[in-house]
Amino acid sequence: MTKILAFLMLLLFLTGCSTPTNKQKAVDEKGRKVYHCNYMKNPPIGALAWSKSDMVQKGINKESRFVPYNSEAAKKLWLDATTVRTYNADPKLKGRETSFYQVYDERGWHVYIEGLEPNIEELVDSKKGGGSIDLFFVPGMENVYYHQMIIKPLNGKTSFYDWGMPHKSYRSMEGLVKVESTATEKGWGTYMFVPWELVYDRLPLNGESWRFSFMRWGTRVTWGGNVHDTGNFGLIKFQESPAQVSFAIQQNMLKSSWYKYKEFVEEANKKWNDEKVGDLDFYNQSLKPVIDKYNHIAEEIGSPTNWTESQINNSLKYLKEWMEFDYKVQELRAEYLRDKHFE
Amino acid sequence: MNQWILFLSLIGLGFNINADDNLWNSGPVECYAVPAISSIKRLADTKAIDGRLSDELRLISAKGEYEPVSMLVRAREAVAKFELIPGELKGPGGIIPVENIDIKVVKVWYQGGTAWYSYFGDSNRRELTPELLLKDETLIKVDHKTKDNYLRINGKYEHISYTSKEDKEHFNYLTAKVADSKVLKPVVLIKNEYKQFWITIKTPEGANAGLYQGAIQLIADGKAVGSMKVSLKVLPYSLPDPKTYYNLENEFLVTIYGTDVLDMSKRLNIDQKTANELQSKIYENVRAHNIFNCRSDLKLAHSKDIESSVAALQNELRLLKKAGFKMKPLLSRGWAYPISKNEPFDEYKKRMDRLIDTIVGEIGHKDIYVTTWDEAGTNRVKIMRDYLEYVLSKGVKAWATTHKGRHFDLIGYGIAYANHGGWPKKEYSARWHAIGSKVASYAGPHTGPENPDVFRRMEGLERYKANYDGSFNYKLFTQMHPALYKKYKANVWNDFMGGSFRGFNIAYPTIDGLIDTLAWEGFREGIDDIRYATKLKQLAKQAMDSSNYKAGIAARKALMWLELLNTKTCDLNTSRLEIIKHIEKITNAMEK
Repeated sequence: MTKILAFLMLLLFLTGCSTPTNKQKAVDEKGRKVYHCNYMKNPPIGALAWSKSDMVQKGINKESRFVPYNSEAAKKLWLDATTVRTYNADPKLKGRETSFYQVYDERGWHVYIEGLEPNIEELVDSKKGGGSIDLFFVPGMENVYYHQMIIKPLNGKTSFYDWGMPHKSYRSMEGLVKVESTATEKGWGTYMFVPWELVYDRLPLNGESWRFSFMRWGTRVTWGGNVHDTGNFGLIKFQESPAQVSFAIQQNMLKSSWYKYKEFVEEANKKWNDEKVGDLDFYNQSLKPVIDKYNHIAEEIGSPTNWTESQINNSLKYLKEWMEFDYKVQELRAEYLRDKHFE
Repeated sequence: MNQWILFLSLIGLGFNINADDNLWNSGPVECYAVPAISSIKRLADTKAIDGRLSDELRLISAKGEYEPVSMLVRAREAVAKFELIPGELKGPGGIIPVENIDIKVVKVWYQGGTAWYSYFGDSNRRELTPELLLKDETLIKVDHKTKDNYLRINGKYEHISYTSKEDKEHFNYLTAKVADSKVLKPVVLIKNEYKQFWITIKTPEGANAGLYQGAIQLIADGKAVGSMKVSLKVLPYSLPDPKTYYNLENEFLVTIYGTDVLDMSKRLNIDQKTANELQSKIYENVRAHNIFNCRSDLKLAHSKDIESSVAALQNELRLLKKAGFKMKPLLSRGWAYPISKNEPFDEYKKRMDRLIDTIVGEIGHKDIYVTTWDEAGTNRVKIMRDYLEYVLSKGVKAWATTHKGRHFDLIGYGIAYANHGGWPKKEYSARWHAIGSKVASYAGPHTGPENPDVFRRMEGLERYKANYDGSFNYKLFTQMHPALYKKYKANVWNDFMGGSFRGFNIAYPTIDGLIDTLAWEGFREGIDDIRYATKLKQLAKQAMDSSNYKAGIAARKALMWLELLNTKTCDLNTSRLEIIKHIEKITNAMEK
């Protein structure tokens, strides 16, 4: 594909994106709600920016089809020993709409959640209440892990629940996902940013769907399903990414992996190439040859700021190894130590 | 197919495979050595991304340890009858008999949508999940078209993937004739599919240190198609019982809820001999999986015939003793709270006196912990205080389930062993330690997830290094409710009954014992990690207490490494090898 053609396609795509629909179409898929998450160039960053954005002010692509949480199921939540929820709904309070907006860009997935609170001033002054958000997402449809977080918009706390164990194909949200909330005139707004790095091996670039839902406690509503009930969650359908954007995302991932690799190497050199607390035999025999190999590649492709398209395409094969170099070191170490027992 | 995922998957293939082109390049199968405990969900189409094409399985074990190793077999062509026949392992001055080599096939079946990851229920979806370790994989039949499982009961397959809307009776695992084979049965291999085998070797306590070797012969449709060499390195030591990370003098207590079948057997009029035999089999399995401090589950509550309850408790305590569990301290389920609103306090005192007297009569000491209301809210916490104070007055202690923000500020003084709900954190253990109490944790996570790495990590070094005093999780398997089993209609084998939670199963009950799972093996390895770390710390202390400064330096280096170990993200297979290396270094330094 020529660059001009790619540019024209991107232009066409962006033009399409800029034609807003006031609300998400109520198109369901097998009984599940579907939200269309579109690409957006330079989306708002942070809760305040989102709350003041055109999208939120005008309700563009707003999703507010929340339904009451199953009250019988809610009663059983006290049995959850991992967290304490205020799951009772307050029927006296009206006007507590819940809604969200989502877009993605070259850096990641942006979600903005708005909770209307008629008595927001009182909640802010008293520094208590405001409920919490139980948020879940599955980066895919089948045979995929899921993530959970509990966000307390008015006290700024977010608890991440890692249901997978960190390994080469699963990363903890902690330290990667950013969550920020702010009180607004009408209630509160919460912004969540999931960098592609968290899910770089599950990128939704080809129009894939992810399972997604959240429950807002206090008003006790859900976009779909109960907690952990991934089969009844709604779906986020990502707009197919044009080649130019996909390339930019891959470029970003490769850069991230490269910088991550450099950091790991620095740490590995410090740790293992040390005559007192390291293991020079392991370092020289097992680790250094691998580092040398990648350093040689690095010399060939130069600084990430100057990478060309062909260099990027040629280097993508190293992405996972660079990204997960820490595990590679551990694997090399295990192999080295195990082999010693059988020499 | 997402091309990006495909691309990364292909890259992943080359991540750790140093394939030898000459290996398994002909014949109906090819074999891969893979880490036994791994977060990788191995399905029929999951390549050995963390393993290698190999004709050798290598494992390292302490004396007396159970150690797993695993292999994947990929069929190049369909095999109707594939057999694995192990031989004895020969080593320095002896053999490890074939009886100590246990081979099972990893059964992949359908479980709910959160399977592998969570104990929360999601019965709206069905996902293939590896879980059961079976000698006869046909015990479970899987229908891939309907995503249903069938269980062979008394020779006949019954549907076990029904929803709660279907009018089914409760499943009585105490009488239903469900049992695995005693010997490994041949398996069917489907062309281009992978099948995982699980090999556990029990190194005899008296084995000499050194390298032991043997092989597992592979037979496809009656023809020998190759073999997997088995190389076992036996280390020159046994593993100590686990101690806490923060104090080598304190025992790390290993307990799990839900090991009892005696109570339910009595309610269902199953004869005592049969009940005792099944209970003993379960205890044998549980003990072999590193449960050192099995809870006494029988209490004297809810029984009009107190003498019969006392006799049942005595019987249970004798079975526990016989199975080899530690009886000091003894954790009891005896209830330190009113059975009903109408129970007078004096009645409670009599009940508690009788419970304590019975236990002391059997075990000969008062290092006993009884429990109180489970996950009590503030009102109950306030009520329980008088009840716990009475327990304290009798020279006995209490354990209780608790949670962040509950109990500590109102009844912390009365709880000597807090079982804290949720993921282990140092701040929780520090709080209980500050008032001289011990702390364990449960629901971090509950049993249910099939991923063996979850239990190896969370029950093992992650909890250990958070300065906990024990593992006390909920639970071995989902039992019939003692009074409401007919109403609840639970089926321990069914993951699709709906509800907030999945079955809390880390093993499955059969008519003659338990069926092991990946998670249960992960649990054993997790506790073994703690035992290795305990060995390391004990040796390090010895070295630091000696006048051998070089040994002291080696010891401090080892402790530095352990303290710096990130137990959330480390590869636990590597960490184990690292601990073994440090033990060797300190030992060598001490010998000089």
